[in-house]
Amino acid sequence: MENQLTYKKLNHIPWVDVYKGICIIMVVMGHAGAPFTTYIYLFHMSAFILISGFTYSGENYSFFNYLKKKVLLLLLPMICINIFYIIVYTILQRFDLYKYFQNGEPISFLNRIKLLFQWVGTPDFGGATWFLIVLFTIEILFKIFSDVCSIIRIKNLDIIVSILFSLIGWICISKGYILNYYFDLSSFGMLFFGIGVLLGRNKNIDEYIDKKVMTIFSLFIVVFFGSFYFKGQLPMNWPTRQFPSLPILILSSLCAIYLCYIISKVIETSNIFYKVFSYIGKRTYSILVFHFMAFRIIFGMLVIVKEFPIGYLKELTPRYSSGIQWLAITIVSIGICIFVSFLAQMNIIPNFIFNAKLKINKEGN
Amino acid sequence: MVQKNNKNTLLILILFTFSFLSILWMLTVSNSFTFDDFTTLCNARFKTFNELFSFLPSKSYNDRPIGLMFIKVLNILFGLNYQSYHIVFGIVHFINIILVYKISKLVFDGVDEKLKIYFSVIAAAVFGIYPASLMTVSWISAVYDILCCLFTLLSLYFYLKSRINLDYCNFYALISIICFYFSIRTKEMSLTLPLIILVYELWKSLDEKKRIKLRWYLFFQLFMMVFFVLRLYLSGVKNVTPDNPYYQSFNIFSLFKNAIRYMFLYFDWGNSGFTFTDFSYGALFGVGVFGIIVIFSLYKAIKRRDFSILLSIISIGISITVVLTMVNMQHRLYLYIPSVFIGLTVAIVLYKVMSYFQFKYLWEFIIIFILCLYLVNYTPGMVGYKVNWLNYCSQDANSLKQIEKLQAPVDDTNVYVKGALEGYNIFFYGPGNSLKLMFDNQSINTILVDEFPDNPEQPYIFLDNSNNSITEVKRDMTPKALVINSIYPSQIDSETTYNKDGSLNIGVVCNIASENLKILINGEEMNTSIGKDFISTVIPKQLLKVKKIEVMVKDSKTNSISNKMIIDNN
Repeated sequence: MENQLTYKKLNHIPWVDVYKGICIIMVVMGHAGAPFTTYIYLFHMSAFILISGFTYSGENYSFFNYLKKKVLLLLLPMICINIFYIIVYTILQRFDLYKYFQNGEPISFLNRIKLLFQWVGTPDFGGATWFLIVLFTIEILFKIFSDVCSIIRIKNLDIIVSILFSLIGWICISKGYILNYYFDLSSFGMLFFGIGVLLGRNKNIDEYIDKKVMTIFSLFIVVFFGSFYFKGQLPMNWPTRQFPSLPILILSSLCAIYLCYIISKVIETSNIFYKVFSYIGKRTYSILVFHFMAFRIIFGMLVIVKEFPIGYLKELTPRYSSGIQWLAITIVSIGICIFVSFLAQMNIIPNFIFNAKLKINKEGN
Repeated sequence: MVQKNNKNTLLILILFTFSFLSILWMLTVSNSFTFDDFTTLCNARFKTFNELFSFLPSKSYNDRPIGLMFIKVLNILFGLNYQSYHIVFGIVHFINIILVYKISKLVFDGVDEKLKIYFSVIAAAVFGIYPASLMTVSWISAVYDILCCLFTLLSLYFYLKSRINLDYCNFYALISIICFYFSIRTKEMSLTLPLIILVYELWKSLDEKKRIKLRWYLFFQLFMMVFFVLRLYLSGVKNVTPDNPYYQSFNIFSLFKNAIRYMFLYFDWGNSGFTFTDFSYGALFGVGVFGIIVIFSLYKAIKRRDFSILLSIISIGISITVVLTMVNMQHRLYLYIPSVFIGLTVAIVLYKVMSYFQFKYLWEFIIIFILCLYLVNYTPGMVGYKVNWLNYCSQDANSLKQIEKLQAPVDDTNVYVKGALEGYNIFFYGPGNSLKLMFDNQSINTILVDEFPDNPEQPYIFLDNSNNSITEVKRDMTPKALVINSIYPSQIDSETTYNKDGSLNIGVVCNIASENLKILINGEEMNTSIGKDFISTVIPKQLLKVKKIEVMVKDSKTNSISNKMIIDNN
């Protein structure tokens, strides 16, 4: 098993980066108000959790080393980026600019820090970073299950336990019990993480699934749920715990994720598209944590050139527009995120905050 | 080889051509909405997908969400363009024909490839062309049967694929289970599919002289069957009187008699109705041939230890079991799914018979066979059925055109219809679902009357339905008087619970439910929350300083104002 995983680690799976690139672009598009947001919200969060499970490599580490790794690569960067945003808001308050960016009374630096640590109350720029704490919890929980189940030596028992554990999360969500630090979402997320691990351990998905049948089936399911069943509404919203019924959630998510996988495999065959999507996919963290800030920068620029009213600076996401404004904002915001990521690489501290990386790669990756 | 491929292609082309010709009349503009279509469309149109779907059934009969969701999708895509609906049904029927063909090829596994194709074409032709079982394709309300057949066939197809394809075995098994679930939630008639699969496994074990091997997913499907049967039964058996068409009896002799009735219905080329009427001579030829097949199957089973025909006949019986309990009605609709297994049986029988003739002139025989199947469309019964059906469609289409010319009624209009109490007419289902549909307004209330009332409830319309003509006699669109029925709390005293800021929540129940209602407190319009059964608002602290609080409700759309109710503030 260890040799297999070492092999897997050494043999980077190209389509995974493309997949992550597609997913993060979908996230930004969804926040930018794309007309097909319903489709995006069918699967975008579960897609990330699943791929994290697929690329899970916890077996190579002891528990404490894995915990340390995840703290350094998920938890601490999440805290640091949010502290950065808190500092930004504190500066805005200091120069009496807060009122242009937020309604309501300013919140002191200390209170914001308290909110962050007590309730994971992030500034709006860091609105997407809730996912990092959920993913961190999922990874650690799975590591615990995996280590405990390895004693019993039943194949894939850790996956079965994780999937059963996810029922606890589902019960909390359906009963409206909101747990601290998004623990209810983390426990529910174990479902998709477990499925991802199962797929990752079997390496070649196409050996077990008839591609033609699954693609047609998935297309029907996704089109039905995206264009009809959930028309005009968000199918699910993880941070607000808004979910459809469990069978619908699982069916629509998995089918949409499968289509994403197929598209990733197709893109993998094109040299240019592969380079673009995998480049973006390798900067998923940067785009996730910075895209709301990038939106604000774009709004600021458009306010300066008087394209947008000054009140727009208070918006977290673009207002509804019938044109292709959402597309332009998506492209520019991703561009800004990549640019910031590139600049951040030059120093160890910004590299940690904006790229969640401990070392500077001389090749700039 | 090229010539052989051309012959095969031509055969399949002929199959689809005659299948298309058999249902062509159903795709024309003459085949409009009729009968239950108005109810089906109303249910689909005015409910959300969330309201339509439930994972498990909650009632014993007609809990069929998949079919309604399908109609809702069609309604979103095509509105009330009935021709588009029928074209979609035609496409689904063609997919079913392809699936019957593919399933048949899998059933004839081990047979020479050319023969496999030929006999699969026979099976598909019986299913796709023989008109006695095709009512499902012509009628929108029969969506349950046509979709149930689709999912049943998909489930069966993937089950058979899972047996032969070891790589994707588990994947196909999962798809088979999912499709079986969809079929049950479309119509209960597919519940017995696992038993049919069991019969197939039994045949294979006897044929190959091996022990019967039951796969885990068959057990799962059997479990699903038992679970859903219990669930449907425990949801409450509908209390119907013995003369009701849906009255059910589990008496074994009744079941056997009904099976014979269905056989007569299937072969009766003189019956132009939708249901079995009597044991007529028009069916004798077909019933006679079927009888010979039964005897032949018993001979094969006893003398030759060849159980294929006998077990396929048993499959036909199993596929129709669910509807055999309805003693008062044997409907053509219910023949659609069993005709799959009738097709397979005919193919197997012909295979056995033709084997005696070394399969000579098989291709020519199939062409003639397909032609004969198609010619059944021109028997008196089938022609009469088509004419009757289109007459009803024409009558309803004519009525719909007249309704279209009427001015749309306002919300909550009471439509009094005279002359519609007797016989079938467009107002029958609902009553008045056709009006709700045509005016896209589910608040319209239709009352069928002998005479128009002297004091009708406003707003109202009087319609006269006589001599195939719908005439508006009178109309009064004065909106319904808005009345407050009750308020909570009805008085404020020491036990009243206030909000933390000193404000008070109140609820108001009116005689009208509308999103346009606003609560007025002492003449001041308040932010109003619209609930399912009542509306509510929060009275701020400063307005609670008076001894009497006047509550009224205003409809912001019609500007009507309700009566005044007082809350005593003690």
